[in-house]
Amino acid sequence: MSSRLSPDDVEAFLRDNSQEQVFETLAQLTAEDRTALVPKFRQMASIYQFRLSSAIQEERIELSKAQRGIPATEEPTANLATERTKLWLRPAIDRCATCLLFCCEYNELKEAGHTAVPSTEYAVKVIATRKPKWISQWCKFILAARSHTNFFTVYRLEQLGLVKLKHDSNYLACAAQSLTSVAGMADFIAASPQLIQDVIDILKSPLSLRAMAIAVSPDSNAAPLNEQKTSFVEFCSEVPSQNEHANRWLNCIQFLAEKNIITNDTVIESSFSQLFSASEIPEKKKNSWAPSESTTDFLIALHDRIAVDKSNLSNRYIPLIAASNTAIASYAMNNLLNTPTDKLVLTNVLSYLPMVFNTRSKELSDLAFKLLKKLEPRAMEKQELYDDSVLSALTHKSGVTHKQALNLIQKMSLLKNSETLNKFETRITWLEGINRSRARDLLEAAKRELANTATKTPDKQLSEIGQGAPLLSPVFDCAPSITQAIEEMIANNFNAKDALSELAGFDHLAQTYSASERDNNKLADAILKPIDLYSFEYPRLSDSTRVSPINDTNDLIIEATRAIAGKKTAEETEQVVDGIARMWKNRPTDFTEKMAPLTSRLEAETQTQFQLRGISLPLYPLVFSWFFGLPITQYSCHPFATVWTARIVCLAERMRQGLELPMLAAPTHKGGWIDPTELVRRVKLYQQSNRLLFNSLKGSSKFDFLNPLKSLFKGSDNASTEIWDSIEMTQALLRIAPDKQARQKALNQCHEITGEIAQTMKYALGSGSIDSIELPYFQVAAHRARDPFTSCKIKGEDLGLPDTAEVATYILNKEAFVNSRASTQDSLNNAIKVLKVTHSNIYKTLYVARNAPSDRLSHIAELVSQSDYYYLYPTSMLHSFYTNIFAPDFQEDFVLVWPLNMEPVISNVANLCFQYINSSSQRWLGQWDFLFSPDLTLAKNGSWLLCFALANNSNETARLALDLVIAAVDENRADAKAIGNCIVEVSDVMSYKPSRLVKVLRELSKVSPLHALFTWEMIETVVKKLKGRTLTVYLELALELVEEYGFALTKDSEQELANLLKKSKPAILVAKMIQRSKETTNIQKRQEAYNQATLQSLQSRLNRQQRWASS
Amino acid sequence: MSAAFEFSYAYPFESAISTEGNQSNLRLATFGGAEKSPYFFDGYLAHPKTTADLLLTLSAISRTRFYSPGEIRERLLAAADPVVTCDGTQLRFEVFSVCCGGYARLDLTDTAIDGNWLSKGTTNVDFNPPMRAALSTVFHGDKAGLKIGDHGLELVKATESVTERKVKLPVRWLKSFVEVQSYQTELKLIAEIAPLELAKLLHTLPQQNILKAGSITYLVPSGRSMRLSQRPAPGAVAIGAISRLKILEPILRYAKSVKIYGSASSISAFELLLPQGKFVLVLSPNAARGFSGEGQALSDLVQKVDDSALAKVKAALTWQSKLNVEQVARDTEIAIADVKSALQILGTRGLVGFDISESCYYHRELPFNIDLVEDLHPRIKKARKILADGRVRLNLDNRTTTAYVTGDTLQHVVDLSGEPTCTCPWYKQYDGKRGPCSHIMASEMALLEHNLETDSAT
Repeated sequence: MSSRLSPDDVEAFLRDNSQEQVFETLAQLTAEDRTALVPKFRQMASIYQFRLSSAIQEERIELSKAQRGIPATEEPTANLATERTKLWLRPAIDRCATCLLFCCEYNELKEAGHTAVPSTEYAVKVIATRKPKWISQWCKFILAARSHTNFFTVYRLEQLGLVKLKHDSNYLACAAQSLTSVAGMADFIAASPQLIQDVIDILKSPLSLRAMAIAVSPDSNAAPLNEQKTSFVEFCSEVPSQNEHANRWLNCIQFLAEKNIITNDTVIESSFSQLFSASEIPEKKKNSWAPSESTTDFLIALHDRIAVDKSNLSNRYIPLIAASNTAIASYAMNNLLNTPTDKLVLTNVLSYLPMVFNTRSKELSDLAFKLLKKLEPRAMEKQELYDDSVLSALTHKSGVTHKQALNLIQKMSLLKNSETLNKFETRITWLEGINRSRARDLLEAAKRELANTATKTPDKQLSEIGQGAPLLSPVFDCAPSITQAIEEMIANNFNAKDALSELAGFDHLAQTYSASERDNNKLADAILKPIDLYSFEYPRLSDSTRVSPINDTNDLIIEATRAIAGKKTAEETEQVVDGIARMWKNRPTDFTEKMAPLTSRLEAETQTQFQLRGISLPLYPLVFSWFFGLPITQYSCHPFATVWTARIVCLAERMRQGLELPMLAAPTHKGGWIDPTELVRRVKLYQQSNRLLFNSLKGSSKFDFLNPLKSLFKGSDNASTEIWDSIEMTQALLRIAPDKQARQKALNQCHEITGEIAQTMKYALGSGSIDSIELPYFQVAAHRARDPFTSCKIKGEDLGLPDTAEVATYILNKEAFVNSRASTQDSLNNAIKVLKVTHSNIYKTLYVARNAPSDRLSHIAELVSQSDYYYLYPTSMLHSFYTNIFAPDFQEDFVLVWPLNMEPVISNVANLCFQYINSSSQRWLGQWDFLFSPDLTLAKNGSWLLCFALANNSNETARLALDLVIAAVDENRADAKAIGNCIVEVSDVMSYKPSRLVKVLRELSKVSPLHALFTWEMIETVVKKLKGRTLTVYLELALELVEEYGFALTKDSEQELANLLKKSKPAILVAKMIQRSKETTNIQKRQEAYNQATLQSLQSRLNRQQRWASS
Repeated sequence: MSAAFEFSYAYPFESAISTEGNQSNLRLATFGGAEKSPYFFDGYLAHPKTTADLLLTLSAISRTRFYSPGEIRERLLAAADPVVTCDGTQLRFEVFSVCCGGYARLDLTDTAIDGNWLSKGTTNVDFNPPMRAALSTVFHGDKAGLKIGDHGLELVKATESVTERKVKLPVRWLKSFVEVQSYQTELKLIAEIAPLELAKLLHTLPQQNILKAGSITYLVPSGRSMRLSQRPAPGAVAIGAISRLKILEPILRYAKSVKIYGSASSISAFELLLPQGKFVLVLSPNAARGFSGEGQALSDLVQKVDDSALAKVKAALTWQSKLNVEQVARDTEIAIADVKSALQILGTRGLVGFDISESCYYHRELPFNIDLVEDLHPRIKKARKILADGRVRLNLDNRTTTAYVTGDTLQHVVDLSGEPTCTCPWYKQYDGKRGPCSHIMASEMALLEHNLETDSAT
């Protein structure tokens, strides 16, 4: 080939010449000529790579077919591809790479990547010829690819003295990856002092050691190691498999150590160092720096081969026995177990053993007990340390470990001195059930023995960790004058004529306590009796709960911004909308300037659908409408419609008519309540503007409003206007506070109101007849506003919906439980019916559009028309299918729909809790703040909610449920027996571990005697009725409560439980409970617990009565 | 902005444990600070195993990345060696977790160490992996020496070889050192519990390290102890990503008591009171939020102060372990309030640390160039640029103080009447909980200038 190689000749040049010829030709070219050829070489490299990839793919397919016994394809192209691969493609690629390396500068080589790295022989020849300045950089660059070829190229260049590199972690990792591909690698390494040093360094670094343990996948596009291996498959077989790679290293290091080329000590030191580094990282952790299990295995295997005499290294294994990495800890522990006892340094072993019980591994704790047993003959030498080690096992998570520890304590009589006894007593609270009971027995026996010992040593100062720290103020340490305190409280506050005191349950409890024949069961009933919080007899409206309306435009802009950002609650957002409704015409001089950031942001965010969720969604179009003064329909809005959305559309409609009127249904007080007098004032304001007359709707049947609704956007007429106002009005009616005085006052002010709404208002406020109301949805709303829990007759056809004419009733749908276990999809479909209302047609499928048309508000109107009754019958909507599905997003809104009756919302939350009972996430929870209202009862559907929530798999949900039940017990608004019954009802069908529920109940019982009594009542209800294996976990908790508070089973319960199979674990537990509850100390404890619970309950009821009275 | 700056740890020798007969010697190499490689201490560890375990836990924190938002850089693990301050009576070791969401400090008093205090100052100490591995083999009965720095070794080896590790220290790591002082001043002691009680709570956390970065868990009083809760309550401590606390498990058994601190901004701190001193772990409100990004110190950084007062307070720093504000005020003849402000500012410059248990500052000088923090903080830079470009327009009337700030694309409204608020998306997202946004800072600077001008005119 002539030295005048032109780009056009390149293809033939690469195809027709040998590697040597190519090299010779390029060597004769001038630098300028070579540079001119670079683009063509790069082009050819790309073409070859593409062809190679295709050929490899085809070859893989053929191989796969062969492996599965499928006959090879007869198509000529496939064979041709293989032929090409074998015969010329790979050599051509290598020739092309040689050319690129010869012609390119460093930056170009970096861009070309692996296509510019030829085989070692020619890479070295080219570099040796060119001697470029960037040789070091290039070597580092190609090493990063971790390719075998590249490492040997760099190694050869170093050998020739052409480059001197710092052997950093990347170099060493590449070496560790590559050296296993050399036949006779041990001899190869032994022959090179530099490689020996590299191997020593590899052993020292976790990164390079990992490369020893784990082989990387070969680079499928890399050039072959030598020209003989022309098939890709053949090339792959050159690279050792994962196991072979690690094995070759193990054999190699063993060989080097045996030949004393690397000293044993060096390898042992390195392996200990690496074991320590790896020991800190638990297995299965996916972080990149964490050693995978194969690295751990490699380390252990390496250490095992080199460290022949492990007994002399026992001190080095000790720090590893408590490693987070269980494999390493277990290896170290086994090595100690295999070490002769006399060679173990007792102090060192025993000082580390307690840490083993910090890990939660059952395997490790078993090994630790083996070690303790092995050390048993020498325990006397270091008795204190030995005791500490055994006692530490009591803080392990497993009950089996606790049992092992108690066995050892008993066998070795470890509780001999007061110090050990104190430590033991501190740890008893970690134990559960029968173990705790047994521990108490051991403690008592040890105490007695200690007392009887004549040579009793004086109590030492406690050296136990934490004993010196002051405890938190105990909530329920019984004061000596507790009975006196109760009696004083009753004497000072008992007033049978006080309705609020009676309603709060103070009087009933006081009477029960003071009864001459005090029966603990009756007292427990009185202490735990939930308060009727749906009563109309206590006030809801007070100055402290009054909501301040927004009266300043500046404030309104700021508050609107925060509401859009989702920083406002539903109640606060209602105030923002009310502010816009009243002040949208008020535009200060800098209005545009102040609004600009908000609207610009909204415009930008509107481009992304569904960015805002929940109650802030409908504010989008409203704010635009407010700012630009344009009809709301021009702006995007989420297609999902709720009553809240419909009310905002209603407001927009009023704005279009130029009206500034308050939102009829905006709450005046927290909890969603409206002061009835304020509602009367608002209605009058509306009527002064010719609204709320409802003349056009009279005489219509239940669905007559649909057509006017649809025509809303075609042009405003009276009918459409009145339909929108109806939605707002029904919502306002449902929020009227059940305050007798305020209702009466409002009733007196109703005379100025005219038309249909006058009759509706009067009936809602407690006067008049339902028959005088024409429109059925007003009939329902007015009736539900004054009588949420009774049925009524409405005009026209009964809708058959819950909480319209008929009150909703709830049943447990056991089928849903069974289905939920059968399939996930069934769970999703049916779980919502777990607690269902007894109306069959509530599950009407709704159309919820995913792709909304551009005119979003028209679309909402369309939706409203399809889901008709949901907007005019909001009480019914609360039971709908889609309130369940979207509950997390809209829960806050639903909470405010009908504050008089929260059962529908609570049942929704209960259903969600069931649906996700085994989920570890709490994302679906939604907003639970409303459940913490002290005036919300959880004694009805709340019992189901608590039953499902307390058993939830998500730690956060279970914790939140615990918070809720603690608050509910404090405030006498939960029913222990009802929750117990719920647990029993679902126990045979529920798919959760009862131990999960018991764990949370155990926490509940620790809060105070009142909470303990509540837990006891719940558990007693459960154990009395429950059958089967799950009974044991509940009985274990019951036994703990008997021992802690002295509680006793009732005669009924004892009889129910008498049928248990003798010698069964439940029967043993019951017998123990009965025996314990009869002990004198426990009788005293019981009395104290009941007294303390009485005091707590009285105080709580008194606080409530005083809070109500001050309203 | 550069996310990291080149820093070269050049230790005169490698930290190591050497064994001579039946005695092991822990030699910690030092680098940086007022002297190049200071020599602080030469003596013995009174409780070798306990101290070794404490140092190991401290070191583990500096190598832990509690939160891993995708791109994990292994180099970060080797990035930050502990900073040690010697005031002649105790040694304070300080570290941050790799993610900067956890700050830990180990104070070793004279009950833990016995020997000669050779000098005072702040420096880095080398905590290399082999030394950590060796540290784990220190046992109770061992006689263990301790040297922080070593002149002899430095002289011998300085010319031969220097253990040099060039690392890219993340700027956020440096910023965290500045921010954590501001946060610690907010912390209030909420409860003191037995270590076993804390251990029990930690046992209830999931076995697997499920971090749930953004979740807040509350520690609330319950019966005779405390329990974990999902809701705030009186006496509750808010803890972000509580699983991070598990790192304390191995050393809880050495503690006599645990003090728990909390703050309104959900920063929490756990102080383990030990016979040897104390171990403090401060946690950010969220595992995904390092202290670096909090911005609580930003207002201090831009605060205009009397330079002479600042210089006087700075001159009064002589490696005190407790800076008595009244004493400094008397010595410098500066008002107490000014001294407090000056200490806050010096805290942002890495010149003082804050000790929550003593509720006071102490003198230490970070061995890094802290000027970088102010230069590299994007919000300060942006605020200054906004002000310099004249993009702040103040609107002052009798009732409200409003500023209109032109941002990159939009005009934002800053309300300075009460607690400053801004209409920008950043403020909207964080609600002011992560320090002021650049618009608020620019507006405050503009208002300050306006007030100064008005004052000088009158």
